[in-house]
Amino acid sequence: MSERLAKKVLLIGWDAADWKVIHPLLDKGQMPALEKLINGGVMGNLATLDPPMSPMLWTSIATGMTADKHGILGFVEPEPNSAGIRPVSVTSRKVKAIWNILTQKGFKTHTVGWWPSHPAEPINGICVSNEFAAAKGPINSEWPLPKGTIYPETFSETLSQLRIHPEEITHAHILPFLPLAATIDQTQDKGIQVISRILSECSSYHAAATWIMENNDWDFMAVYFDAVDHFCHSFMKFHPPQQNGIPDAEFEKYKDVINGAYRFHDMMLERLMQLAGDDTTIILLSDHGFYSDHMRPQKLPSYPAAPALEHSPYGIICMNGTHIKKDEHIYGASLLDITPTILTIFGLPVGNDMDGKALVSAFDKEISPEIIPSWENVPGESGMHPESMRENTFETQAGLDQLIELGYIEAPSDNTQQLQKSVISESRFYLARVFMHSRKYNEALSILEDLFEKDKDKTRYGLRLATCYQLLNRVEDCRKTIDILRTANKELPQLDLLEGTLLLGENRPRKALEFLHKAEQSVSHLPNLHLQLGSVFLQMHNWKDAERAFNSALLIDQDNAQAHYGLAICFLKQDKYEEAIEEALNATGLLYNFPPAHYTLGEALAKADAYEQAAQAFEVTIKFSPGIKKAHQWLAKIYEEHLNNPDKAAIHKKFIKENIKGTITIVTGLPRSGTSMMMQMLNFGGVEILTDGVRENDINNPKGYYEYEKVKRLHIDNKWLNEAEGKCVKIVAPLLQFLPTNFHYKIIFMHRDMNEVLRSQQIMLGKEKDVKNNTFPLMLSEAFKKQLEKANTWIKSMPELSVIHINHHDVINNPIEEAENISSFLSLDLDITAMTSAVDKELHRNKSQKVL
Amino acid sequence: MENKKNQYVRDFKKQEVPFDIPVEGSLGLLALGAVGIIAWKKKKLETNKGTTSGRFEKK
Repeated sequence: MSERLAKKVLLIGWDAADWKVIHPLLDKGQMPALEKLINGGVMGNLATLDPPMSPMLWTSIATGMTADKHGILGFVEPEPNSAGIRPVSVTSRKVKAIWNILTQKGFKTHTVGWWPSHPAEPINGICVSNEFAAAKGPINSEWPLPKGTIYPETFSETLSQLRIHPEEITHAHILPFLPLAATIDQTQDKGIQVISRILSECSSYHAAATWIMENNDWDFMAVYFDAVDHFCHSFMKFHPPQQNGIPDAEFEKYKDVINGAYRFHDMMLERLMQLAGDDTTIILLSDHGFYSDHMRPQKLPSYPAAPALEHSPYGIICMNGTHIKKDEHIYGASLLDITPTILTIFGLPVGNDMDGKALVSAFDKEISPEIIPSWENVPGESGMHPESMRENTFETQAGLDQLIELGYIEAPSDNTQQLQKSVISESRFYLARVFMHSRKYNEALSILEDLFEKDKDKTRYGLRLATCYQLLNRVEDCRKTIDILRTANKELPQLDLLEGTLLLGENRPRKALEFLHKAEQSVSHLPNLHLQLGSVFLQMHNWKDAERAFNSALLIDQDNAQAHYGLAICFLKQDKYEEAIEEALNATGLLYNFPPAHYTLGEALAKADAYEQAAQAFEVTIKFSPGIKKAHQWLAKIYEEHLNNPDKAAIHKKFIKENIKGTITIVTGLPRSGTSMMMQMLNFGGVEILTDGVRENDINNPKGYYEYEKVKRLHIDNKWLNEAEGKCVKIVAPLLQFLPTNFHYKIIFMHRDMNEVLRSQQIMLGKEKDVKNNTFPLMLSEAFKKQLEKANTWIKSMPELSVIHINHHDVINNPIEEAENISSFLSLDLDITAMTSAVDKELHRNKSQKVL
Repeated sequence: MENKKNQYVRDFKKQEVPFDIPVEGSLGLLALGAVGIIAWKKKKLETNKGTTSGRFEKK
């Protein structure tokens, strides 16, 4: 066991808390407890997961694992007895939560209200489940605790007495939220009832938590409040500034509710901090944020869990306690990091199967957490429910469906059955989104294909499926899915955005622009759209329009790190180093784990002769992404030439030599598909060509072949490829498969109509008779097609390879556009005019006339 | 009983000045957690002679 860094840990969850609401309150001194916590500790953004649904997220916080592993997949789940659906329960959780691990290690552990935690788990302490506080009837009716709410049951009576019924809430509680409460007609306006319910429930959980802390020993205490989220879903629309469509009278009544909610939470926090004492590390966090400005959705669509669209991608985190740094920011935290961090505080190892990491940057000393393969296989009593109670309700449902089909069990009513089916489909959809967020695209794909196949009306399923295909580079399948969606929803702007993204990925910025502009006309408020537009303009080296697009994205969301990064590139390319530095700093400040932004910051600093700071930026770049060759090259240069540190320079040179593969550009295709023309274009554009000039110009290729003799023996000898590093070489498609894996390849794949290719080849072979008669061996055409298929299969199987497919016909007809596409693909500032001069339309036309 | 209630309040405020528990309650009492709620519920019982209702009504 490693060193224990704190005596106790108090974990406080404020669902949906957001810095954007908190900061103005802190500035006005209206959240003094939180201010104290922040000043004495660290604070930062906490990145959420997708989908941002609270039961899934809070379970990820408590387990350090994504939902595909922990098994909580939404708000509801099928009833195991097939009678209906129920709120998601803790028995569906497949892995240990932090309190189970701590129970197993003998720590005194209590949890209050965690979502989901019903039925209460038999942990080494008290567990108050998330069904503790909700009142089911009027105040004078019976209000029993649901079975399984408290563990151990002996505490049930005491704790149940601490609950507050909504009808106990008085004007004294309401007026601080609603100064104009007396003017509200409660028969028409349910605002007061909603506030009463939320306030009574969170006060009940708070009372239970404080009673446990005062009357029991504890090492770990976790308490969860959903009230900020509930207040926000009901009243954020009234939060200042007043939104369009909100009547003045409504605004005046409800404008103080959100601030009131946060201030009340601060009051509760003060009490919890007092009870925790100085020897406790306190972690306060939220699972996601909540849009509070112009990003608030004006209208929510009518599908399940649509309110999650109001959630913003960053929650909050503060840590305060022994060995926690004081008054500092932490960066790059994710809610998956909480459990590994708590384990580290208790000196326990982190499970290698956890998806997060310990937030070591929060500690004031060097910490190297111990790692074990998994906590799941560690034997001992963990306080989880027995196996017989834990079940995958979705699998149970599938088993029951089969029994119903076989006639062993009576089928539920049509409505119930429909509801269950809908819940199962939605949960599978959420699972697919979890996989996509974890970049497990193939796992997501199989679910999405099945869902969309069964339910083509669900545009959400189709859009995710198309996006998944795009991310897997399955362009044809993506386009097919887009077509299906277009047939049903002709005006869906997301499809234009997707098509634009596809074309951008294919290095066709001009065509991408057409679709993105079309999408912009329909929905101009999507920041992602402007980011894509900015990327297109960057690819086209149109820095001014790129700048405008990124600024548009910032008008929608001023905290968009990608947009600040885009601006930094625009300024850097225009030699405006100070502006570039400022924007790169904005980007890294918002999203610290953002290596390209650190790299751009380093480049701008280096060009502004601030070498020491530039070296720091490049060091951060390679800390996050060790394989960025350019960052190592910059570091080697800066240490050697400016900071007089040859030892460090040597380290980076050695790293590049030993760990980073060189890049070779390859022009390929079938013979006579335009490969020589492309080589000439690249040569004219400024790309260094590997050629020996052995094969001389002739009538078939009057401008030269640009070939290299050794290529013909690639299948026997590939040692010469070292000579091709950083250069471009022509290799016919059938030989691609013999390329070794120790280089990165950028492949320009030329395509041409097969008949034209065959005609050209026959002419070259002196078989003009065949051409005149238009008779080519059928087998030849089929063989070439197979060779192309084989080459494409090989390309898809290579992980470290990028490819652009260029049509010979397009080059002849649109040489400027294709030259720009190639320049963008190679990330080089090629001479476009010189490249286009290599395209001889006349030559091509004559050749066509000859063969016809 | 009164002394015990006031002791809770003194513990929280870390000062020796007790204050009256308002029968209509307060956000401060709710934020105090268990001790605040216990004190408030007792005050209501004493004042309302067993009636726990404190429903918000128009003033």
